[in-house]
Amino acid sequence: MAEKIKVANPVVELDGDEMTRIIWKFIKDKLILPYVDLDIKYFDLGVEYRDETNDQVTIDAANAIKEHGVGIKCATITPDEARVTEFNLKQMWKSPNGTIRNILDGTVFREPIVIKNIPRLVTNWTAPIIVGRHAFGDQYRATDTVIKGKGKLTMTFVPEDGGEAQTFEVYNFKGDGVAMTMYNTDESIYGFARSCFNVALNKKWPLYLSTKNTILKNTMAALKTSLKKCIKMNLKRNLLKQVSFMNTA
Amino acid sequence: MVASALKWNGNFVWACKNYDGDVQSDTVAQGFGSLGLMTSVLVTPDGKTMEAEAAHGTVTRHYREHQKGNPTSTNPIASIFAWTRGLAFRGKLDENQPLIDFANALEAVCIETVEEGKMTKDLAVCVHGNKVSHGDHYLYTEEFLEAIDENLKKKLA
Repeated sequence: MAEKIKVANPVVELDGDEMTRIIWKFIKDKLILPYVDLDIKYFDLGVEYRDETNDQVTIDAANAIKEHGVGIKCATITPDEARVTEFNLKQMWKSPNGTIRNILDGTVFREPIVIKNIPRLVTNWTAPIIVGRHAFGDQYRATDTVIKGKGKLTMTFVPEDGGEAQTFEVYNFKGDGVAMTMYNTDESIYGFARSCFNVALNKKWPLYLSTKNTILKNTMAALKTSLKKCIKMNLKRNLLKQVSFMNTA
Repeated sequence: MVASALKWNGNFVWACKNYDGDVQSDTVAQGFGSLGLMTSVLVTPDGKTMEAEAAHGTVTRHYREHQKGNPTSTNPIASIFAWTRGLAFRGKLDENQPLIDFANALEAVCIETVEEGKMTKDLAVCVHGNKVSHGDHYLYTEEFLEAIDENLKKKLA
């Protein structure tokens, strides 16, 4: 066999659970280590060890990824009540992916592997589509409530600097209904836009943002502004074919 | 955007707001047919840190069979791609072309192995429907991994 490939910097390995843990070991021992001379920072994210360390191992692993730049993760159990009973867990530990995402503050992109003889349900999808989801705020951190009876719903922002409070009349209920307030932050939106831009640049693929700017003027404007900022910064690199804003519908 | 996405052939990045991304990533996963072939990467805003993994879960149903000593046919491809995507990114950060080439070679081997007809049951069902049998249409987990191992050895020889 030829000489192993030397790798200058470490990668962080995050081991996982059940069938994927068994396969994981084979992949590492048979398909990777015989060919690559690799410094691996190993973290056992198997649910038993997460429980033993009160989930500290997940936090340590995320910080290690931050330090070294590369994480390679096996699938893991996110405990529900049945799992808590099955493994006699101290508590229903949060999803490791959520914890890692919060620490790294990144965006998740899903990409399918396309194989010619494996048919797709959408037959003209002959190449991958990468979907990036801005997994912060909006509906997932919303305050929602049931409205009973007639009355006025308002939304108020109280500035911390003592400025005048702004109140917006949202709806005048004539009867029962539901209401929801949601938010997002410029920082998170800008982070998401930059992540998307970097993935598209790396792939040299066009980037599309599906918008609903007719009904969500202000939120969509923030996203567009962020992406446009990225475009300006990267214009001289001129690598990205196009960034487009499309209506979702 | 949905109309365009359905008509186009792929090769694009689709940025979605939170709820839209929740729904559309499942639509896209179903449209491509198999969660066993879906990868997931976490990328930081500066593009300098990434974490790669398979988008699927821990395949509990197969694990139960494995614990009973029964053979399984579990698709390892997305897990292998977690390694290759991670290593390729390490290669990019370090400007290590041989490492990137290795990652690409292992990915190609996975795809070529399936294209020569060797695959796990989930993929065989996509091709042949529900009436598939071991040996004729699909391999067990270990057999498929051995096939990849063999093809990788050949490719890198």
